[in-house]
Amino acid sequence: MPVSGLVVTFNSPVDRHRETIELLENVPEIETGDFRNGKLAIVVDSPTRQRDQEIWDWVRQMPGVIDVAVAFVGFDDGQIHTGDE
Amino acid sequence: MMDAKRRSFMKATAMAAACSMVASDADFSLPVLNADDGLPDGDGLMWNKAPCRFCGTGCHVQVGVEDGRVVAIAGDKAADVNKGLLCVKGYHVGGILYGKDRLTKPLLRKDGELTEIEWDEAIDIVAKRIMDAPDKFAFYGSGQWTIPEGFAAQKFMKGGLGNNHIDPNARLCMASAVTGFLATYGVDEPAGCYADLDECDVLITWGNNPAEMHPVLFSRVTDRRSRGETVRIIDIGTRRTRTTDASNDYLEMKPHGDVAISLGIMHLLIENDSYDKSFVAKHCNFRGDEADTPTLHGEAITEEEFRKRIAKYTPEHVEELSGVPADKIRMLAELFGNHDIRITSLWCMGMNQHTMGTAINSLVHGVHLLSGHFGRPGDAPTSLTGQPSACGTVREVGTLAHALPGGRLVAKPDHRAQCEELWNVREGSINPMPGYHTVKMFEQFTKPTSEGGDINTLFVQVTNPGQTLPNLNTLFNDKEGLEDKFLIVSEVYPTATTRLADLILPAALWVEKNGMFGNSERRTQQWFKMVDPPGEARDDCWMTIAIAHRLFELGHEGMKNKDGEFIFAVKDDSGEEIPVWEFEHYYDTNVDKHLFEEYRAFTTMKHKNLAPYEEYVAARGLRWPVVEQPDGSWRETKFRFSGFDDPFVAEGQEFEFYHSSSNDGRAQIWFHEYAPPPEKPDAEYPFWLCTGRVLEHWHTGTMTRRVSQLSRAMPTSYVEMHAEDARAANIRQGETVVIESRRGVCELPVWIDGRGRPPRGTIFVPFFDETKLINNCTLEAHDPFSKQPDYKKCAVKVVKKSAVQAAPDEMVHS
Repeated sequence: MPVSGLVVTFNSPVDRHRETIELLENVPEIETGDFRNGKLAIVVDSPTRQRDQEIWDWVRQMPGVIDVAVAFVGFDDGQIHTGDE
Repeated sequence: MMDAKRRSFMKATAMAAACSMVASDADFSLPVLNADDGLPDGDGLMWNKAPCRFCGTGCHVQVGVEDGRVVAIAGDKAADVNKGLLCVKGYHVGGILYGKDRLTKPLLRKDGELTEIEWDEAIDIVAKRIMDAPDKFAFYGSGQWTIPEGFAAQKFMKGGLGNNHIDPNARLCMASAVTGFLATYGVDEPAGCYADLDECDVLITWGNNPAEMHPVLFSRVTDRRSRGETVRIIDIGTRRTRTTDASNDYLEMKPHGDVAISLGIMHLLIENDSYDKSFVAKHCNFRGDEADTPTLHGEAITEEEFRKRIAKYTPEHVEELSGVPADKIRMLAELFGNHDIRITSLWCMGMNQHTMGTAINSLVHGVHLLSGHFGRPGDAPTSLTGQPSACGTVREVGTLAHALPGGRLVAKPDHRAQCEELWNVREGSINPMPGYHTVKMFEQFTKPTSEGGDINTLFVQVTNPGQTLPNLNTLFNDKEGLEDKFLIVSEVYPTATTRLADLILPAALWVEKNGMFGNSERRTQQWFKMVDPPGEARDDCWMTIAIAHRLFELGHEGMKNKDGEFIFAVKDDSGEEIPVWEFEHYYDTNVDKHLFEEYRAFTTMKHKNLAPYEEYVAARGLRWPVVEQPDGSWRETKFRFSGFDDPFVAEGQEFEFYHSSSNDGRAQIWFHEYAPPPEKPDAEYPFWLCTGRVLEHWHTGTMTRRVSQLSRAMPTSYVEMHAEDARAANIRQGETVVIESRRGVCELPVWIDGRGRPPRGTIFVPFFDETKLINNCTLEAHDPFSKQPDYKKCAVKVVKKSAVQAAPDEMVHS
């Protein structure tokens, strides 16, 4: 059950991407935070790591998104990555 | 499972971290946040800093530890390199410690089976094999060795055993960058730093894909665009990549086309009279290869002679050689001829894994020198490294077969004497003959003793040659069945190398030990051990010291210094020796600090001065030379050879190349004639094969393939192929094909129009997948100076697997 703080970079100022922001806000696992210039802070709180990866990949493909970088990631103790998954 | 309170704490921390990155967006190029602005400890979670374990970028992370386990990772906003951001691999770096198949016990092969043994027996076995034949022992190390690990290995081999057969895997990834810097400036490593990426108007990537291989660095450039700045990115490559997607111009070249392109730019700078006459007149010489036996030193040529030699590299001739249209060569020359803009060149494996690696490195430096695009922030020829300490450990500590710490060479008597003095070992301890470079080392190990294979014991630490060597069937797999050859491998997980190991030593990884790395921009970084390694896994540095001490006990004279003491003796404040060779006492003191302080004394000899250990504890790395100021503080250097920043440039000089190979303070602008690749496609093997890396996996995938998210995102290797080539061969998307070269075969699924898009006649295969060893096919041909093999171009055929199954005897071998 990862919790990650991500920084989404757009190809122009964030306020020109209202439609994309709304799409993000409609995803229950995503919480949007501050934005400035071309960057938006989001937190993803997902039930599984697979879902976390799906959200990551989905955000990367959103219109206007040119980069997704990581600021923080926390893992549930019992769920940290293992080699045989 | 996390309870609600803890989850809420985690979410608040995640949001705070992300928002702080957004808030600092506007001042990305300004001084970083105070190093004390750390993440909050709480709820049992403790944070500490470390550089990321993966590439040469050197991002800093904050590592969250709870109950002895790494449970959280955050980008370190106090770090100048990444300013709080991480790539997808950095996101998962904590997970590399917890693969379920960690090696936890020494394993000895007996009657073909691996059997658990005790550490004491393992150390005994290694020491006795060395004692029996010290000159037949070789040590194969790594650009992932920490600086103290590399220094200990170097001292053990060269100062102790008098044996120079020590070489690192970095020979396979950046040796040509070293020889390029040495040939041009007389001293290794880039003059500029990452700040060039914040200042350049034009970024040229030469056979380089930083969008995937150094994503945080590349984002420094693309972030500037999101702030409204104009940065022109020009991608010169043999296939389209994610870097191409972000580029303004894509110049697709034939293999070895980079040599012709750089010659073409210099030709036009001369012809158009747009080169920087003042810079060249004050700071440069011209140089060419000697007629008889070319060396790195070359011979001086006049500017007139340089003009004559380069005259034939007209844009049209360069177009023939490189495939890049003549008007694009003119475009590049016009940019370099414009003194009002700033140009940074980036390169990595594309220019280094090249049989003309030294030449192309020197030529790109030459383009920047001739045009005067050098030494101002944003004007820089910069090579990147793939490993976290290829610079710090390999290039600076000098863990290469010919080198000594501090830029010294084993072949020079005065250099040997300096090192013997600093190591306090007997005069004459260091062997004057360079040892075996990587390819030669493995040739000598895998060749039967009866046929002259004179290496019989090989110790591999922190690397995976069973997957990364070129032409694996010859250079690695031939070891199988040679009864008198003994392979020792220190590893964290089973790998393609441990498959043939006779003795496997379980190793501690990353924050399971103290460490120091040196990244691509001359930045030395430090971290402390945060968690215990699993089972009986132990530090690589301890292994070296323990083996050395067992040899000391056996009476090996080289393990004693001039005073008769153990060469790695560490004493406490009362003068009592601490038995650091016993693992239970290894952390009674900070061995890293002792070794680093010993190493520091070497670093002043070539103006690569390092600060005391404690300065690195306090900082997120410092870029050398680091020089003490009158007030007792330590100042790092961003721009070497530039008078405004480098303390070793003579006062009043704008630039000074103070290690000039011509001893006149000047850099060398080289001429090298274009030469074709050593193997080209023909009727039998009609495709170029290029190999490389992917975003999700780091090098051989030993660590990243054990992180489920990364493995799921990129589960298997593949072959990128042009749609028309696939159609012509009736190959469908996802179909398994056999790649075959003159050296071996590899089966892979086809990815048409995938992430990378090679042109017709070229295929690309990543090397991260140990179940699909593409290095069975690659070529061991190497650069004559750097000895670095060319993994980027050889000839192969691509055959449908169904066709191979129909005629196995003809198609499949080895």
